[in-house]
Amino acid sequence: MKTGAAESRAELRGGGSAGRARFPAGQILMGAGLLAALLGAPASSMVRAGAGGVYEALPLDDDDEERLLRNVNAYEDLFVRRGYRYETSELDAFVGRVGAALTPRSTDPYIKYRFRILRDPQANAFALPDGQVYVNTGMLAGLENEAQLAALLAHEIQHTAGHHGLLSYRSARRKIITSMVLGPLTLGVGDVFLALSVAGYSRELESEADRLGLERMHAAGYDPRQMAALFELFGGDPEGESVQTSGSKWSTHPETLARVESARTQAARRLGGRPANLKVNAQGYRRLARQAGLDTVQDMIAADYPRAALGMARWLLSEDATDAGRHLAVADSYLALGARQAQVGDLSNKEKRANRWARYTHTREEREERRLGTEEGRKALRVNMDLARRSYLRALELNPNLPEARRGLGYALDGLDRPQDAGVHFVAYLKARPGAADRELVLDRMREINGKIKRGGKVR
Amino acid sequence: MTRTQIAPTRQGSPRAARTFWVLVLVAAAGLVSTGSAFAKGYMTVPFRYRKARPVKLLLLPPHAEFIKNKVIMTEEMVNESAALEVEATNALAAQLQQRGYKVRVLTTAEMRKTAGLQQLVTRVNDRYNEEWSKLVNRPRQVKKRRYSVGPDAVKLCTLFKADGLAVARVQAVGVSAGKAILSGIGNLGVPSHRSFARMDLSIIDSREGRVEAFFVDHEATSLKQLTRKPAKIMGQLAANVLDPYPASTFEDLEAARGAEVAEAKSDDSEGAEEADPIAEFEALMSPQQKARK
Repeated sequence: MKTGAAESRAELRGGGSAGRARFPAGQILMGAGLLAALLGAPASSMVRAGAGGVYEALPLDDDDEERLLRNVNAYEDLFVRRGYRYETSELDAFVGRVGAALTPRSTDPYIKYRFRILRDPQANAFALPDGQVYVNTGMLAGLENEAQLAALLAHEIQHTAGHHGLLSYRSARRKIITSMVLGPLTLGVGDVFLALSVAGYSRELESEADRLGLERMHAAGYDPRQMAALFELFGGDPEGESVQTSGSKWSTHPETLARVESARTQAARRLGGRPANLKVNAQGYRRLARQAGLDTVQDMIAADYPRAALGMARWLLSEDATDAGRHLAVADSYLALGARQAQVGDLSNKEKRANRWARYTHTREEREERRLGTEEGRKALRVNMDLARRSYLRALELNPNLPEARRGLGYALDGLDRPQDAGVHFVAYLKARPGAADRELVLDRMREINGKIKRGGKVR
Repeated sequence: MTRTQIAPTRQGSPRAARTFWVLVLVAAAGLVSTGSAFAKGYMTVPFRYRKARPVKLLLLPPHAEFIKNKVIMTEEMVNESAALEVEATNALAAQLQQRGYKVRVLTTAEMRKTAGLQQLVTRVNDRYNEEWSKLVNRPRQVKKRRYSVGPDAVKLCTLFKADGLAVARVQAVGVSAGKAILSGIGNLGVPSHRSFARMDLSIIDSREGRVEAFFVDHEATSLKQLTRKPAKIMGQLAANVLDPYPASTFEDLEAARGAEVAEAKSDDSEGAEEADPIAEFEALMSPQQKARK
């Protein structure tokens, strides 16, 4: 939804709050958003869209802009090289098809639309000036239907079609040069106004992308009311690390409530009380997004955002309680919670800052040790391990041939100080998966368990 | 005699001290300007004395960042970073091999063969990035085995039958000659903006995924060299970084003796590690064992 990951994305329904540029591709995206995010200000001589959201061509000004476009183009390879592309799924082809249906005729030779998925649990999407449109798995996992995907892609397409990146670059270049000349005279005050204008103008562009994106999705046969529903998906801070800034003055997107309201009004106006035969496709989309959802849960766990993972896993489970894979995702999330509370409660900004700071200064082990040093942490560990145990057992009831559930059960039971029971499940896992990549890790845990049993571990 | 005779000499010492400090400053400035290497190596004791020093290394292609110090950035830095990554990989692999280690480089094509492997490599890199900021701030704590890249590093080593994982990061900052000269004006002729390249290398063990060693160094260079001769710069940088890296045959006997004493104290757990844990567990759980209990 944003034109760069530096502009952090809000989270999906308790599912994606883990954070700003802290998730995997975040660092690259910071660079990828160079044009559109860092220099996120539109030119005053903006090329306005004509009827139906069609823009005029915008030829490149000079060699610098050509180089910039080549640089942007190179991100496509960089994402592949770093392993962030999510290429193997049916979902990949689906996103491409929905995107193609929304794509306008290209006005410039340097724009060639292509739609890609990045494996990143952060709920984010962005477009580059040469037509590359990226959607993260974390975003796809949280969308409710195909129409919301169309709304998202239509918004991003507008950024490219409207040349927002190039216009922003030109505007920022002028402002930077002006501030270099006038800076010493204005004693730096000019820089503040520059920053203000950059932040303010960018919101204008976002509103334009919302408005024209809604028109575009409706024209392609999608229900335009899903644009507002898409904006409502964002919010929440399950990890208790997102510090609230005062208001949305500095944010690059219009305030969410205003945005939702605006999209609702526009949709109502367009529909005129006749929402007949418009495409939403919730069931088909959610079936396709299942694997992206499960992968997102695992990626959130790997990135040490277990509360966000649990939120996403529970939501997936609420869709289909007979799916063993979804129970496994819930169980893995509880296991990853360790000595954390499942809910953070109401935290002050100071506490949130402290949480975030601890993540940067202390290793995961140190933070867990600190939690285990309190009675509250030890209690949370027991509760989480027991909830994990129950979910693993439920997964095994639904699908007894699920070695990963055996392994998880082993870890949960070991956490509950039941080494013998844990050992039984570890052995079952290792026999079912003799070539498992984590074999050595499980064998190490078995050695510890054998030691515990020898020292007189509890027998159930 | 001594006191009275020495005293006048001491009275003359301020000039000598001043000369001494001027010489030190000149020498330091000279060293900095030539970009001489001050490579640093932080290693755990078992790594240093060879007991836990991996011989078969899996080298993940380094991640490089190329930053050009310009007001408006319009350069093709993504491709230039890619060139640095390729050259850094080649240089590190070749020089580790020269030191007697077996090095397996994981290529992008290999990584993309299966989604599972791609995901594993990405997670290892991401997790390493998470630890990297702490590692760079407090590298001395490598000796205490503070930093862990987690189970995914172990899985990756298991898949490639490697003893350890080598992960490197490169940062290059390019400053145009004009900007460097301008920054020198008003700064006593010493430019405050200079081009340099920095590299660090971590060795991660295959049993627990812990960082066993960390090597770091930088090289003063120029923007032209960074863009036109990445192989030369990366080769030199890799040589600097690996300077404190012991050869595969090197055994630090002093460290080994110290570690053996420590090991002797916890010798009882050593025997347990040798046995097959599954067989041992099954034996412990057998009815005979229970009856004996």
